[in-house]
Amino acid sequence: MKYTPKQAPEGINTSTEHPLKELVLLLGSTLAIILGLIYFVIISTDYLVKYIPVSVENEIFNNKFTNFSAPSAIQELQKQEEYLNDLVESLQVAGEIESHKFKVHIIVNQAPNAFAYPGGNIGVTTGLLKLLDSENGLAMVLGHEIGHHLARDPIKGIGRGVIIGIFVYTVLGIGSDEWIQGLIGELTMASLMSFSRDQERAADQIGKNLIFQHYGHTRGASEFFEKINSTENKFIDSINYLNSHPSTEERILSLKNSMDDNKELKPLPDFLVLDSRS
Amino acid sequence: MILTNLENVPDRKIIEHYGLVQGNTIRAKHIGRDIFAGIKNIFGGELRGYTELLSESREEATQRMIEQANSMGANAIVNIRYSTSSVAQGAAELYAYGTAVRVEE
Amino acid sequence: MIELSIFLLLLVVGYIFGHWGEKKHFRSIIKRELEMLHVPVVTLKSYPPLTRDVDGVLVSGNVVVSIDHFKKFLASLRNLFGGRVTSYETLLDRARREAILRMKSSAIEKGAEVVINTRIETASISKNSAGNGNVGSVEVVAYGTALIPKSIYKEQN
Repeated sequence: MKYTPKQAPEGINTSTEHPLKELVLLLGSTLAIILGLIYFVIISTDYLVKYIPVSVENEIFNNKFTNFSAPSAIQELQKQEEYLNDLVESLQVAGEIESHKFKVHIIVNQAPNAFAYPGGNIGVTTGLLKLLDSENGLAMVLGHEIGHHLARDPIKGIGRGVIIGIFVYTVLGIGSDEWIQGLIGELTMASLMSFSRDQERAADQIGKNLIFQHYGHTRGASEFFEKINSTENKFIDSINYLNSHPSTEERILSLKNSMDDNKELKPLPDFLVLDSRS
Repeated sequence: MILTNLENVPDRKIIEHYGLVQGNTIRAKHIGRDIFAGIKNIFGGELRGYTELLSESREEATQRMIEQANSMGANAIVNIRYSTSSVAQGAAELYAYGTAVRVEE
Repeated sequence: MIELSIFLLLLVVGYIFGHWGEKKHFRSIIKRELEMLHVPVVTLKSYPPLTRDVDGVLVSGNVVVSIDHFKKFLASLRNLFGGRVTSYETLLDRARREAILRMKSSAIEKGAEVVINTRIETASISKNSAGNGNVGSVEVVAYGTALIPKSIYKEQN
Protein backbone atom coordinates (compact mmCIF):
# COMPACT_ATOMS: atom_id res chain seq x y z
CA MET A 1 0.00 0.00 0.00
CA LYS A 2 1.19 3.46 -0.62
CA TYR A 3 1.14 6.38 1.70
CA THR A 4 -0.52 9.64 0.84
CA PRO A 5 0.22 12.34 3.36
CA LYS A 6 -2.90 14.25 4.33
CA GLN A 7 -3.36 16.79 7.08
CA ALA A 8 -6.62 16.58 8.99
CA PRO A 9 -8.58 19.85 9.17
CA GLU A 10 -8.85 21.87 12.38
CA GLY A 11 -12.04 22.19 14.33
CA ILE A 12 -13.07 18.54 14.48
CA ASN A 13 -11.76 17.76 17.89
CA THR A 14 -11.97 21.29 19.19
CA SER A 15 -14.67 23.85 19.23
CA THR A 16 -14.33 27.29 17.68
CA GLU A 17 -16.77 28.85 20.12
CA HIS A 18 -15.18 31.63 22.11
CA PRO A 19 -14.65 30.65 25.75
CA LEU A 20 -15.79 34.00 27.07
CA LYS A 21 -19.16 33.60 25.43
CA GLU A 22 -19.54 30.22 27.07
CA LEU A 23 -18.46 31.65 30.40
CA VAL A 24 -21.07 34.39 30.29
CA LEU A 25 -23.78 31.99 29.30
CA LEU A 26 -23.03 29.40 31.95
CA LEU A 27 -22.31 31.84 34.73
CA GLY A 28 -25.43 33.81 33.96
CA SER A 29 -27.64 30.73 34.05
CA THR A 30 -26.03 29.49 37.26
CA LEU A 31 -26.52 32.77 39.08
CA ALA A 32 -30.07 33.06 37.83
CA ILE A 33 -30.89 29.59 39.11
CA ILE A 34 -29.19 30.16 42.45
CA LEU A 35 -30.97 33.46 43.02
CA GLY A 36 -34.28 31.92 42.01
CA LEU A 37 -33.82 29.10 44.48
CA ILE A 38 -32.80 31.43 47.27
CA TYR A 39 -35.86 33.55 46.65
CA PHE A 40 -38.03 30.47 46.77
CA VAL A 41 -36.37 29.32 49.98
CA ILE A 42 -36.94 32.69 51.58
CA ILE A 43 -40.62 32.67 50.73
CA SER A 44 -41.19 29.15 51.99
CA THR A 45 -39.22 29.46 55.22
CA ASP A 46 -40.96 32.69 56.08
CA TYR A 47 -44.19 30.83 55.73
CA LEU A 48 -43.17 27.73 57.63
CA VAL A 49 -41.43 29.47 60.49
CA LYS A 50 -44.75 30.76 61.74
CA TYR A 51 -45.39 27.25 63.00
CA ILE A 52 -42.53 27.34 65.47
CA PRO A 53 -44.11 28.67 68.67
CA VAL A 54 -42.34 31.34 70.69
CA SER A 55 -41.89 28.98 73.60
CA VAL A 56 -39.90 26.58 71.46
CA GLU A 57 -37.78 29.42 70.13
CA ASN A 58 -37.03 30.58 73.66
CA GLU A 59 -36.28 27.07 74.79
CA ILE A 60 -33.74 26.50 72.04
CA PHE A 61 -31.91 29.78 72.17
CA ASN A 62 -32.08 30.73 75.79
CA ASN A 63 -31.67 27.40 77.42
CA LYS A 64 -29.39 25.61 75.02
CA PHE A 65 -27.16 28.56 74.20
CA THR A 66 -26.89 30.24 77.54
CA ASN A 67 -24.47 32.90 76.31
CA PHE A 68 -27.37 34.59 74.62
CA SER A 69 -29.37 35.25 77.71
CA ALA A 70 -26.88 35.70 80.52
CA PRO A 71 -26.74 39.13 82.14
CA SER A 72 -23.67 41.21 81.47
CA ALA A 73 -20.51 40.06 83.15
CA ILE A 74 -19.30 43.63 83.52
CA GLN A 75 -20.35 45.06 86.92
CA GLU A 76 -20.84 48.62 85.77
CA LEU A 77 -23.20 47.63 83.03
CA GLN A 78 -25.56 45.66 85.19
CA LYS A 79 -27.37 48.73 86.46
CA GLN A 80 -27.83 50.00 82.90
CA GLU A 81 -29.11 46.63 81.79
CA GLU A 82 -31.65 46.67 84.57
CA TYR A 83 -32.81 50.09 83.49
CA LEU A 84 -33.15 48.97 79.89
CA ASN A 85 -35.02 45.85 80.88
CA ASP A 86 -37.47 47.96 82.92
CA LEU A 87 -37.97 50.26 79.97
CA VAL A 88 -38.67 47.34 77.66
CA GLU A 89 -41.11 45.93 80.19
CA SER A 90 -43.02 49.18 80.39
CA LEU A 91 -43.24 49.30 76.61
CA GLN A 92 -44.51 45.76 76.68
CA VAL A 93 -47.21 46.72 79.19
CA ALA A 94 -48.17 49.75 77.14
CA GLY A 95 -48.49 47.65 74.01
CA GLU A 96 -50.19 44.78 75.82
CA ILE A 97 -47.68 42.29 74.49
CA GLU A 98 -47.96 38.95 76.18
CA SER A 99 -46.58 36.60 73.59
CA HIS A 100 -42.90 37.29 74.25
CA LYS A 101 -40.59 37.80 77.15
CA PHE A 102 -37.77 40.17 76.25
CA LYS A 103 -34.31 40.56 77.65
CA VAL A 104 -31.87 43.36 76.86
CA HIS A 105 -28.09 42.92 76.75
CA ILE A 106 -25.50 45.65 76.53
CA ILE A 107 -22.69 45.05 74.09
CA VAL A 108 -19.50 47.02 74.47
CA ASN A 109 -18.93 48.55 71.06
CA GLN A 110 -18.31 52.04 69.77
CA ALA A 111 -20.61 51.81 66.81
CA PRO A 112 -24.17 52.73 67.68
CA ASN A 113 -26.29 49.74 66.87
CA ALA A 114 -29.08 47.55 68.18
CA PHE A 115 -29.93 43.94 67.33
CA ALA A 116 -32.74 41.51 67.77
CA TYR A 117 -31.73 37.90 68.06
CA PRO A 118 -33.71 34.76 68.68
CA GLY A 119 -35.18 33.94 72.06
CA GLY A 120 -36.59 37.41 72.69
CA ASN A 121 -33.11 38.89 73.10
CA ILE A 122 -32.28 42.47 72.27
CA GLY A 123 -28.72 43.75 72.06
CA VAL A 124 -27.78 47.42 72.42
CA THR A 125 -24.27 48.79 72.01
CA THR A 126 -22.63 51.24 74.42
CA GLY A 127 -22.09 53.44 71.37
CA LEU A 128 -25.83 53.74 70.98
CA LEU A 129 -26.35 54.68 74.61
CA LYS A 130 -23.75 57.43 74.28
CA LEU A 131 -25.33 58.76 71.12
CA LEU A 132 -28.88 59.30 72.32
CA ASP A 133 -30.12 62.11 74.58
CA SER A 134 -33.68 61.26 75.41
CA GLU A 135 -35.43 58.23 76.78
CA ASN A 136 -37.99 58.60 74.01
CA GLY A 137 -35.33 58.05 71.35
CA LEU A 138 -33.99 55.05 73.23
CA ALA A 139 -37.49 53.64 73.66
CA MET A 140 -38.00 53.96 69.93
CA VAL A 141 -34.93 51.86 69.25
CA LEU A 142 -36.04 49.24 71.75
CA GLY A 143 -39.56 49.34 70.35
CA HIS A 144 -38.14 48.75 66.89
CA GLU A 145 -36.34 45.65 68.08
CA ILE A 146 -39.48 44.46 69.84
CA GLY A 147 -41.20 44.94 66.50
CA HIS A 148 -38.72 42.53 64.89
CA HIS A 149 -39.46 39.94 67.52
CA LEU A 150 -43.20 40.31 67.12
CA ALA A 151 -42.81 39.66 63.41
CA ARG A 152 -40.58 36.61 64.17
CA ASP A 153 -37.84 38.12 62.02
CA PRO A 154 -34.86 36.66 63.92
CA ILE A 155 -36.02 33.11 63.64
CA LYS A 156 -36.91 33.63 60.00
CA GLY A 157 -33.32 34.60 59.36
CA ILE A 158 -32.03 31.45 61.04
CA GLY A 159 -34.55 29.34 59.15
CA ARG A 160 -33.34 30.69 55.84
CA GLY A 161 -29.74 30.08 56.75
CA VAL A 162 -30.43 26.51 57.75
CA ILE A 163 -32.40 25.63 54.67
CA ILE A 164 -29.87 27.18 52.33
CA GLY A 165 -27.09 25.38 54.14
CA ILE A 166 -28.82 22.03 53.87
CA PHE A 167 -29.48 22.65 50.22
CA VAL A 168 -25.89 23.51 49.44
CA TYR A 169 -24.27 20.69 51.29
CA THR A 170 -26.52 17.93 50.10
CA VAL A 171 -27.38 18.86 46.54
CA LEU A 172 -24.38 20.86 45.48
CA GLY A 173 -21.98 19.07 47.76
CA ILE A 174 -22.08 15.99 45.63
CA GLY A 175 -19.11 16.28 43.32
CA SER A 176 -19.00 20.05 43.18
CA ASP A 177 -16.40 22.69 43.74
CA GLU A 178 -15.50 25.03 46.51
CA TRP A 179 -16.32 28.24 44.77
CA ILE A 180 -20.04 27.54 44.70
CA GLN A 181 -20.05 26.60 48.34
CA GLY A 182 -18.11 29.72 49.19
CA LEU A 183 -20.54 31.88 47.30
CA ILE A 184 -23.56 30.33 48.94
CA GLY A 185 -21.86 30.56 52.31
CA GLU A 186 -21.48 34.30 51.83
CA LEU A 187 -25.08 34.69 50.76
CA THR A 188 -26.25 32.65 53.73
CA MET A 189 -24.31 34.79 56.16
CA ALA A 190 -25.73 37.89 54.55
CA SER A 191 -29.31 36.69 54.78
CA LEU A 192 -28.74 35.57 58.36
CA MET A 193 -27.35 38.85 59.59
CA SER A 194 -29.77 41.22 58.02
CA PHE A 195 -33.42 41.82 57.81
CA SER A 196 -35.03 42.97 54.63
CA ARG A 197 -36.13 46.53 54.05
CA ASP A 198 -39.78 45.68 54.42
CA GLN A 199 -39.11 44.03 57.74
CA GLU A 200 -37.27 47.14 58.89
CA ARG A 201 -40.10 49.44 57.90
CA ALA A 202 -42.64 47.25 59.67
CA ALA A 203 -40.48 47.22 62.82
CA ASP A 204 -40.25 51.02 62.65
CA GLN A 205 -44.02 51.32 62.69
CA ILE A 206 -44.43 48.96 65.62
CA GLY A 207 -41.79 50.87 67.56
CA LYS A 208 -43.54 54.15 66.83
CA ASN A 209 -46.86 52.75 68.02
CA LEU A 210 -45.29 51.46 71.20
CA ILE A 211 -43.78 54.76 72.21
CA PHE A 212 -47.05 56.46 71.38
CA GLN A 213 -48.85 54.09 73.68
CA HIS A 214 -46.29 54.59 76.43
CA TYR A 215 -45.58 58.33 76.25
CA GLY A 216 -48.72 59.59 74.55
CA HIS A 217 -46.75 61.14 71.68
CA THR A 218 -44.13 60.18 69.16
CA ARG A 219 -41.57 62.94 69.56
CA GLY A 220 -38.08 61.52 69.64
CA ALA A 221 -38.96 58.64 67.36
CA SER A 222 -36.54 59.82 64.68
CA GLU A 223 -33.78 60.81 67.12
CA PHE A 224 -31.49 57.90 66.39
CA PHE A 225 -31.58 58.44 62.65
CA GLU A 226 -31.14 62.17 62.91
CA LYS A 227 -28.10 61.62 65.08
CA ILE A 228 -26.62 59.10 62.71
CA ASN A 229 -27.22 61.47 59.83
CA SER A 230 -25.39 64.31 61.45
CA THR A 231 -22.43 62.85 63.29
CA GLU A 232 -18.94 63.25 61.95
CA ASN A 233 -18.69 59.54 61.58
CA LYS A 234 -21.89 59.53 59.61
CA PHE A 235 -20.42 57.42 56.86
CA ILE A 236 -18.95 54.76 59.12
CA ASP A 237 -21.92 54.54 61.43
CA SER A 238 -24.44 54.34 58.69
CA ILE A 239 -22.56 51.62 56.84
CA ASN A 240 -23.73 49.34 59.60
CA TYR A 241 -27.23 50.15 58.65
CA LEU A 242 -27.47 51.03 55.01
CA ASN A 243 -26.81 47.54 53.72
CA SER A 244 -30.26 46.29 54.36
CA HIS A 245 -32.14 49.15 55.89
CA PRO A 246 -34.26 51.75 54.19
CA SER A 247 -32.47 55.05 53.83
CA THR A 248 -32.20 57.17 56.94
CA GLU A 249 -34.01 60.11 55.38
CA GLU A 250 -36.91 57.90 54.51
CA ARG A 251 -37.15 56.62 58.03
CA ILE A 252 -36.94 60.10 59.55
CA LEU A 253 -39.80 61.19 57.35
CA SER A 254 -41.97 58.26 58.26
CA LEU A 255 -41.30 58.66 61.96
CA LYS A 256 -41.60 62.41 62.45
CA ASN A 257 -44.94 63.89 63.24
CA SER A 258 -44.89 67.66 63.29
CA MET A 259 -47.88 67.82 65.62
CA ASP A 260 -45.66 66.50 68.37
CA ASP A 261 -42.95 69.13 68.09
CA ASN A 262 -43.93 70.93 71.20
CA LYS A 263 -44.17 67.86 73.41
CA GLU A 264 -41.67 67.22 76.15
CA LEU A 265 -38.88 64.67 75.91
CA LYS A 266 -37.88 62.64 78.93
CA PRO A 267 -34.12 62.82 79.44
CA LEU A 268 -31.99 59.76 80.05
CA PRO A 269 -30.86 59.03 83.61
CA ASP A 270 -27.31 60.12 84.51
CA PHE A 271 -25.89 56.70 85.18
CA LEU A 272 -26.55 55.78 81.58
CA VAL A 273 -23.96 58.21 80.31
CA LEU A 274 -20.75 56.27 80.27
CA ASP A 275 -17.34 57.79 80.77
CA SER A 276 -14.29 57.40 78.60
CA ARG A 277 -14.37 53.60 78.54
CA SER A 278 -15.97 52.07 75.42
CA MET B 1 -16.91 4.06 6.76
CA ILE B 2 -15.63 0.66 7.80
CA LEU B 3 -14.37 0.43 11.35
CA THR B 4 -12.35 -2.40 12.73
CA ASN B 5 -9.73 -3.08 15.31
CA LEU B 6 -8.08 -5.71 13.19
CA GLU B 7 -4.91 -5.12 11.23
CA ASN B 8 -6.83 -5.05 8.02
CA VAL B 9 -10.35 -5.35 6.69
CA PRO B 10 -11.14 -9.04 6.19
CA ASP B 11 -11.03 -10.11 2.58
CA ARG B 12 -10.14 -6.70 1.27
CA LYS B 13 -6.81 -5.31 0.31
CA ILE B 14 -5.57 -2.00 1.61
CA ILE B 15 -4.57 0.24 -1.26
CA GLU B 16 -3.52 3.41 0.43
CA HIS B 17 -3.19 4.80 3.93
CA TYR B 18 -3.20 8.29 5.34
CA GLY B 19 -1.73 7.96 8.76
CA LEU B 20 -3.21 8.39 12.20
CA VAL B 21 -6.67 9.81 12.77
CA GLN B 22 -8.07 10.62 16.17
CA GLY B 23 -11.25 11.74 17.78
CA ASN B 24 -11.83 12.80 21.35
CA THR B 25 -14.51 14.30 23.44
CA ILE B 26 -15.01 15.37 27.02
CA ARG B 27 -18.48 15.38 28.44
CA ALA B 28 -19.73 16.34 31.80
CA LYS B 29 -22.75 14.96 33.53
CA HIS B 30 -25.28 17.41 34.82
CA ILE B 31 -26.37 18.01 38.35
CA GLY B 32 -29.41 15.77 38.11
CA ARG B 33 -27.31 12.72 37.35
CA ASP B 34 -24.93 13.67 40.13
CA ILE B 35 -27.70 13.70 42.68
CA PHE B 36 -29.11 10.45 41.43
CA ALA B 37 -25.68 8.84 41.51
CA GLY B 38 -25.15 10.05 45.05
CA ILE B 39 -28.32 8.33 46.12
CA LYS B 40 -27.58 5.21 44.10
CA ASN B 41 -24.22 4.96 45.77
CA ILE B 42 -26.05 3.99 48.90
CA PHE B 43 -27.91 1.14 47.29
CA GLY B 44 -25.43 -0.12 44.73
CA GLY B 45 -26.10 -1.32 41.22
CA GLU B 46 -25.63 0.11 37.76
CA LEU B 47 -25.48 3.85 37.37
CA ARG B 48 -27.59 4.00 34.26
CA GLY B 49 -27.06 7.72 33.76
CA TYR B 50 -23.29 7.42 33.71
CA THR B 51 -23.35 4.40 31.42
CA GLU B 52 -25.41 6.41 28.98
CA LEU B 53 -23.04 9.33 29.29
CA LEU B 54 -20.01 7.24 28.51
CA SER B 55 -21.50 5.45 25.56
CA GLU B 56 -22.67 8.74 24.13
CA SER B 57 -19.14 10.05 24.54
CA ARG B 58 -17.70 7.03 22.83
CA GLU B 59 -20.12 7.52 19.95
CA GLU B 60 -19.11 11.12 19.60
CA ALA B 61 -15.40 10.40 19.73
CA THR B 62 -15.81 7.75 17.07
CA GLN B 63 -17.81 10.17 14.95
CA ARG B 64 -15.05 12.74 15.10
CA MET B 65 -12.47 10.21 14.12
CA ILE B 66 -14.62 9.23 11.16
CA GLU B 67 -14.93 12.88 10.22
CA GLN B 68 -11.17 13.25 10.13
CA ALA B 69 -10.82 10.11 8.02
CA ASN B 70 -13.51 11.32 5.64
CA SER B 71 -11.72 14.58 5.09
CA MET B 72 -8.67 12.61 4.01
CA GLY B 73 -10.60 10.51 1.55
CA ALA B 74 -10.40 7.22 3.45
CA ASN B 75 -13.10 4.63 3.45
CA ALA B 76 -12.00 2.52 6.39
CA ILE B 77 -10.26 2.92 9.72
CA VAL B 78 -8.26 -0.03 10.96
CA ASN B 79 -6.60 -0.94 14.21
CA ILE B 80 -8.83 1.30 16.28
CA ARG B 81 -8.05 1.73 19.94
CA TYR B 82 -10.11 3.42 22.63
CA SER B 83 -8.87 5.08 25.73
CA THR B 84 -10.71 6.60 28.65
CA SER B 85 -9.23 8.96 31.15
CA SER B 86 -10.39 11.28 33.84
CA VAL B 87 -8.95 14.74 33.49
CA ALA B 88 -11.59 16.85 35.12
CA GLN B 89 -13.57 16.05 38.15
CA GLY B 90 -16.96 14.85 37.07
CA ALA B 91 -16.20 14.64 33.38
CA ALA B 92 -15.30 11.65 31.24
CA GLU B 93 -12.78 11.92 28.45
CA LEU B 94 -13.00 9.48 25.57
CA TYR B 95 -10.29 9.10 22.98
CA ALA B 96 -10.41 6.99 19.84
CA TYR B 97 -7.57 6.61 17.36
CA GLY B 98 -6.80 4.43 14.37
CA THR B 99 -5.20 4.37 10.95
CA ALA B 100 -7.18 5.80 8.05
CA VAL B 101 -6.92 3.64 4.94
CA ARG B 102 -8.53 3.12 1.60
CA VAL B 103 -9.52 -0.44 0.84
CA GLU B 104 -10.44 -1.80 -2.53
CA GLU B 105 -14.15 -2.06 -3.19
CA MET C 1 -14.03 38.83 50.05
CA ILE C 2 -10.30 38.64 49.57
CA GLU C 3 -10.55 35.04 48.44
CA LEU C 4 -13.05 36.07 45.81
CA SER C 5 -10.75 38.72 44.42
CA ILE C 6 -7.80 36.33 44.32
CA PHE C 7 -10.01 33.85 42.55
CA LEU C 8 -11.10 36.43 39.99
CA LEU C 9 -7.50 37.46 39.44
CA LEU C 10 -6.51 33.85 38.78
CA LEU C 11 -9.39 33.54 36.35
CA VAL C 12 -8.39 36.61 34.40
CA VAL C 13 -4.71 35.70 34.31
CA GLY C 14 -5.59 32.14 33.35
CA TYR C 15 -7.79 33.32 30.54
CA ILE C 16 -5.40 35.86 29.07
CA PHE C 17 -2.24 33.82 29.18
CA GLY C 18 -3.97 30.54 28.54
CA HIS C 19 -5.71 31.80 25.42
CA TRP C 20 -2.61 33.45 24.06
CA GLY C 21 -0.40 30.46 24.86
CA GLU C 22 -2.87 28.11 23.25
CA LYS C 23 -3.00 30.02 20.00
CA LYS C 24 0.75 30.14 19.85
CA HIS C 25 1.01 26.45 20.55
CA PHE C 26 -1.51 25.51 17.92
CA ARG C 27 0.31 27.52 15.28
CA SER C 28 3.53 25.73 16.17
CA ILE C 29 1.81 22.36 16.11
CA ILE C 30 0.27 22.90 12.67
CA LYS C 31 3.57 24.09 11.27
CA ARG C 32 5.46 21.08 12.56
CA GLU C 33 2.75 18.67 11.47
CA LEU C 34 3.03 19.90 7.93
CA GLU C 35 6.79 19.61 8.06
CA MET C 36 6.71 16.04 9.33
CA LEU C 37 3.87 14.85 7.17
CA HIS C 38 6.22 12.70 5.11
CA VAL C 39 6.69 10.23 7.94
CA PRO C 40 3.39 8.50 8.70
CA VAL C 41 2.27 7.33 12.08
CA VAL C 42 0.03 4.27 12.06
CA THR C 43 -1.51 1.91 14.53
CA LEU C 44 -0.92 -1.07 12.27
CA LYS C 45 1.32 -3.79 13.57
CA SER C 46 2.95 -4.59 10.28
CA TYR C 47 3.85 -2.37 7.40
CA PRO C 48 3.79 -4.25 4.07
CA PRO C 49 5.95 -1.86 2.03
CA LEU C 50 8.75 -2.20 4.56
CA THR C 51 9.20 -5.74 5.80
CA ARG C 52 12.77 -6.53 4.91
CA ASP C 53 15.98 -4.76 5.74
CA VAL C 54 14.44 -2.66 8.43
CA ASP C 55 15.14 -2.26 12.10
CA GLY C 56 12.49 -1.53 14.65
CA VAL C 57 13.32 0.93 17.38
CA LEU C 58 10.96 2.05 20.15
CA VAL C 59 10.34 5.77 20.04
CA SER C 60 8.19 7.83 22.33
CA GLY C 61 7.19 11.37 22.95
CA ASN C 62 5.50 12.77 25.99
CA VAL C 63 4.22 16.08 27.22
CA VAL C 64 2.58 17.43 30.35
CA VAL C 65 0.18 20.32 29.92
CA SER C 66 -1.23 22.21 32.84
CA ILE C 67 -4.80 23.27 33.28
CA ASP C 68 -5.29 26.91 34.12
CA HIS C 69 -7.88 28.24 36.54
CA PHE C 70 -10.10 29.65 33.88
CA LYS C 71 -10.49 26.27 32.21
CA LYS C 72 -11.15 24.59 35.52
CA PHE C 73 -13.82 27.13 36.39
CA LEU C 74 -15.58 26.71 33.05
CA ALA C 75 -15.48 22.95 33.50
CA SER C 76 -17.03 23.16 36.93
CA LEU C 77 -19.84 25.32 35.56
CA ARG C 78 -20.35 22.77 32.82
CA ASN C 79 -20.66 20.12 35.46
CA LEU C 80 -23.92 21.65 36.57
CA PHE C 81 -25.53 21.61 33.18
CA GLY C 82 -23.88 18.75 31.34
CA GLY C 83 -22.62 18.68 27.77
CA ARG C 84 -19.25 19.07 26.09
CA VAL C 85 -16.51 20.64 28.12
CA THR C 86 -15.03 22.70 25.32
CA SER C 87 -12.36 24.30 27.48
CA TYR C 88 -10.69 20.94 28.03
CA GLU C 89 -11.06 19.75 24.46
CA THR C 90 -8.49 22.19 23.13
CA LEU C 91 -6.16 21.29 25.97
CA LEU C 92 -6.21 17.59 25.24
CA ASP C 93 -6.02 18.05 21.51
CA ARG C 94 -2.88 20.11 21.93
CA ALA C 95 -1.33 17.65 24.33
CA ARG C 96 -1.93 14.67 22.08
CA ARG C 97 -0.74 16.29 18.92
CA GLU C 98 2.34 17.55 20.70
CA ALA C 99 3.16 14.11 22.06
CA ILE C 100 2.80 12.56 18.61
CA LEU C 101 4.98 15.27 17.10
CA ARG C 102 7.68 14.66 19.64
CA MET C 103 7.58 10.97 18.91
CA LYS C 104 7.78 11.69 15.20
CA SER C 105 10.72 14.02 15.57
CA SER C 106 12.52 11.44 17.64
CA ALA C 107 11.84 8.89 14.90
CA ILE C 108 12.93 11.24 12.12
CA GLU C 109 16.16 11.94 13.94
CA LYS C 110 16.87 8.25 13.85
CA GLY C 111 16.14 8.15 10.14
CA ALA C 112 12.85 6.29 10.33
CA GLU C 113 10.44 6.03 7.46
CA VAL C 114 7.35 5.17 9.42
CA VAL C 115 6.24 4.63 12.99
CA ILE C 116 4.04 1.59 13.50
CA ASN C 117 1.97 0.17 16.31
CA THR C 118 1.50 3.53 17.90
CA ARG C 119 -0.20 3.69 21.24
CA ILE C 120 -1.25 6.78 23.09
CA GLU C 121 -1.83 6.94 26.80
CA THR C 122 -3.34 9.79 28.74
CA ALA C 123 -3.04 10.33 32.46
CA SER C 124 -4.24 13.02 34.73
CA ILE C 125 -1.80 14.29 37.29
CA SER C 126 -3.10 16.29 40.18
CA LYS C 127 -1.73 16.72 43.63
CA ASN C 128 -5.11 16.71 45.20
CA SER C 129 -8.23 16.31 43.09
CA ALA C 130 -10.59 18.59 44.98
CA GLY C 131 -7.71 20.66 46.26
CA ASN C 132 -7.78 24.26 47.26
CA GLY C 133 -6.66 25.96 44.11
CA ASN C 134 -4.57 23.07 42.91
CA VAL C 135 -5.33 22.62 39.26
CA GLY C 136 -4.16 19.41 37.78
CA SER C 137 -2.23 18.65 34.66
CA VAL C 138 -2.57 16.17 31.85
CA GLU C 139 0.22 13.90 30.71
CA VAL C 140 0.13 12.30 27.30
CA VAL C 141 2.66 9.76 26.11
CA ALA C 142 2.78 8.43 22.56
CA TYR C 143 4.99 5.45 21.76
CA GLY C 144 5.51 3.25 18.76
CA THR C 145 8.07 1.33 16.77
CA ALA C 146 10.04 3.30 14.26
CA LEU C 147 11.06 1.37 11.17
CA ILE C 148 14.50 2.42 10.05
CA PRO C 149 15.98 1.08 6.82
CA LYS C 150 19.01 -1.00 7.66
CA SER C 151 21.43 1.09 5.69
CA ILE C 152 20.75 4.19 7.76
CA TYR C 153 20.74 2.24 10.98
CA LYS C 154 24.16 0.85 10.23
CA GLU C 155 25.47 4.35 9.64
CA GLN C 156 24.24 5.50 13.00
CA ASN C 157 25.65 2.63 15.01
